[in-house]
Amino acid sequence: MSDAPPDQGDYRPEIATATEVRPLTATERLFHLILPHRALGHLPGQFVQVSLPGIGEAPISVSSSFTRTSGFDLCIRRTGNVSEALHRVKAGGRVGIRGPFGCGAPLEKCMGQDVLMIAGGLGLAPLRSLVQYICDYRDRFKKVTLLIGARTPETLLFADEYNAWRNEGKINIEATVDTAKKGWTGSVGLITNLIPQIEIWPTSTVVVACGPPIMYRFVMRKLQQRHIPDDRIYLSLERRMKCGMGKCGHCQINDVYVCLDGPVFRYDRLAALPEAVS
Amino acid sequence: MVDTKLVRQMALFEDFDRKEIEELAELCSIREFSKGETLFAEERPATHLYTLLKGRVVIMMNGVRGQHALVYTVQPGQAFSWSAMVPPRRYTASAVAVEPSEALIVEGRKLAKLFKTRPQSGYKLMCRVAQLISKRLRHTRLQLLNIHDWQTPENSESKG
Repeated sequence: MSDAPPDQGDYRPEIATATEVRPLTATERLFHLILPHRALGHLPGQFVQVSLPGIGEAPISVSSSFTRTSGFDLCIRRTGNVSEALHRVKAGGRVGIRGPFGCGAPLEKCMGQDVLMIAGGLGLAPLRSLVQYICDYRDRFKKVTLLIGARTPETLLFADEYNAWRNEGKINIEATVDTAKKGWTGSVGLITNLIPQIEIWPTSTVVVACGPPIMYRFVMRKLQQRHIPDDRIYLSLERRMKCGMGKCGHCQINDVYVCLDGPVFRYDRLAALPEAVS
Repeated sequence: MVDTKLVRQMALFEDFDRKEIEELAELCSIREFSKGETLFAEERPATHLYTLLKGRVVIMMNGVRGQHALVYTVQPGQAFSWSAMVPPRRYTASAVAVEPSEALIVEGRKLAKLFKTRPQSGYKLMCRVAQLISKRLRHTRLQLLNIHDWQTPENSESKG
């Protein structure tokens, strides 16, 4: 737990305005938000606490890079009371924001390296922030690959941006879905199926993965078969984060506070925490 | 007959010795498929075991109201159409090349005939086929979990 007293401001939401709201899929919406007095000042992989008075607060990863526009994007899936209410917010509406929290993606470790990003389902939402950052500073990275998994072609997030990521960002993108109707030309099957097909130089590749815990179990096996060292693999954990400051213990796993020490963790650190990825 | 080196590289025949590989190479051939070509159709007699060498092949099943569900994409190096090795020897799904593809094929009945005289080789191959079926079953279970949006109470409305 953090010993330093939290800044009182960390407890108090700032009111942000949604300047644009657009549906991405049947269950996900993308909100572009602007804070009145400051830029969010986040790093790829960090998250914010989003709140609506009288309803509640939920942790949501930032889906855009700080290198883009004055505001920031949040991709929100409708899964419960808070997200259901957030989906009713229209352009011009206001929400509470605390954060950014967490330590985010390992940007410095990725620089000068090949980067392999693995996104399962909603995991592409936080990784989009890293993708945009890489596109904006492309010369700082070597070969960049993005593997995307979703349930169906209709549930692929940000599909309208893949061409720009491919062409402008020189990112090799492979997408797979669990099932599709005839006409889909991408892959069908688990995201792990894509890993044996890509070129990997284990000692010069950094892997950043974000997805459901069950995905990690099988992705890790495939990455280990490709001899990628554990200290080159970073996983973003999903936990029920509340305070965002390592105080409440909701996201605690042994001595680790996901909101504070993560949500992105180097895999060798998680080896002692088997429940973290199960 | 195809090059024995190629046969040796196939995961299905990994445990085979030189003599066995030579005998297998006699039975194997290479076929090319153009984009959109059907390799085999669901419910038809399963005649050949395939290993994809180049390209991509999608496995699809007939659904209700004549719709096709794509269930798996075969990548180079992967074997498929195990139905040719297992009674009732009918394809459980269809396979279509989604890009120009090339496959190493071997007739299931010829393999069965060879293995009657070489049961040890047959056992090795059937172990590999069982692994293939087991892997596909595991993948199918995980795909079903994903499709049904399986999640624990812990990660529902956690971090988006």
